[in-house]
Amino acid sequence: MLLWTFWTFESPSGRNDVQSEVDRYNDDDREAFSRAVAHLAVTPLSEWHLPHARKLIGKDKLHEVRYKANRSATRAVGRFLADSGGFAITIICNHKQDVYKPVDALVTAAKRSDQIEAGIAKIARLQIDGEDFPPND
Amino acid sequence: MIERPSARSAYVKAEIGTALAHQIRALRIQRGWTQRELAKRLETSTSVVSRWEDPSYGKLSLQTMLDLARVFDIGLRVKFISLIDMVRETFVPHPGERYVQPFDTESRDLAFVADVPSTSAVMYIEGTPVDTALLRTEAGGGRLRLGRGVVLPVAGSNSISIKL
Repeated sequence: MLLWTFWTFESPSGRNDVQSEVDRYNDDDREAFSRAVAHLAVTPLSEWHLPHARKLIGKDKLHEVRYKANRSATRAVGRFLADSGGFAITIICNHKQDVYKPVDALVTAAKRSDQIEAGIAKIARLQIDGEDFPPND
Repeated sequence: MIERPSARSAYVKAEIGTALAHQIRALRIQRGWTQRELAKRLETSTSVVSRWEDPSYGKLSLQTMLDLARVFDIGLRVKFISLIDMVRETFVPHPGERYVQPFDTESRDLAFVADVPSTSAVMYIEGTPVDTALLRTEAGGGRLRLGRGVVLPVAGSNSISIKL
């Protein structure tokens, strides 16, 4: 049974950079990402630990999903939605030797999460191959 | 996914790597071990254990899995299966299956007396077969002793099911 549904950030102008990035993945990268999400979707928050995921300490309640894409350590960063059992990914970025790329990725992630909470920005269900993922049933 | 061979192989690779990494971590934590303690039991380093628990690593050898099964005191099933069966079984992961009791814990309620035939028994708990309780006896005839003082006669070499 799903503990968490996954969502993507949609800007006020309707842009969805997270979904666009996922849609560009090749087969290996898409499956690395989707299986990381599938396993975390059934994992209690208390077990969202390294190396699969982690809470970013002091970073505005942000968590990151960790996987490898484009042969690089990749992070899907976002925040849990209040009282809804959802996790909204607000940015996908790279991570190397404690440095995020782009360097302001976490600032952007927090800002976008705030916009979602304030109702300024919307969210859309994460999709893999054109379908909601992970599926509800 | 199912239409492209490259996507199918990518699924197998990603699912095996992710599921194994999650399970190794769960089994270690279930036993109350730190990464350092597991490393010590396998005479390796903490960084190696950390790699095994990383879904991105994806290079666990069969020997490593056998070594892990030995220190965790559990079985290991490795076999090729139909891709459709694999997707059906793994598409939605079952986190409860990550945890496996060590043999010593699991076998407390099921034991065989000496001189029993080559017979296997499947223990049921609340109507669900507990596959990991499958035990094989040595050659000869005899009885099957369950926990709580229940003893059942066993004959021949067929599999038997016991509902507790």
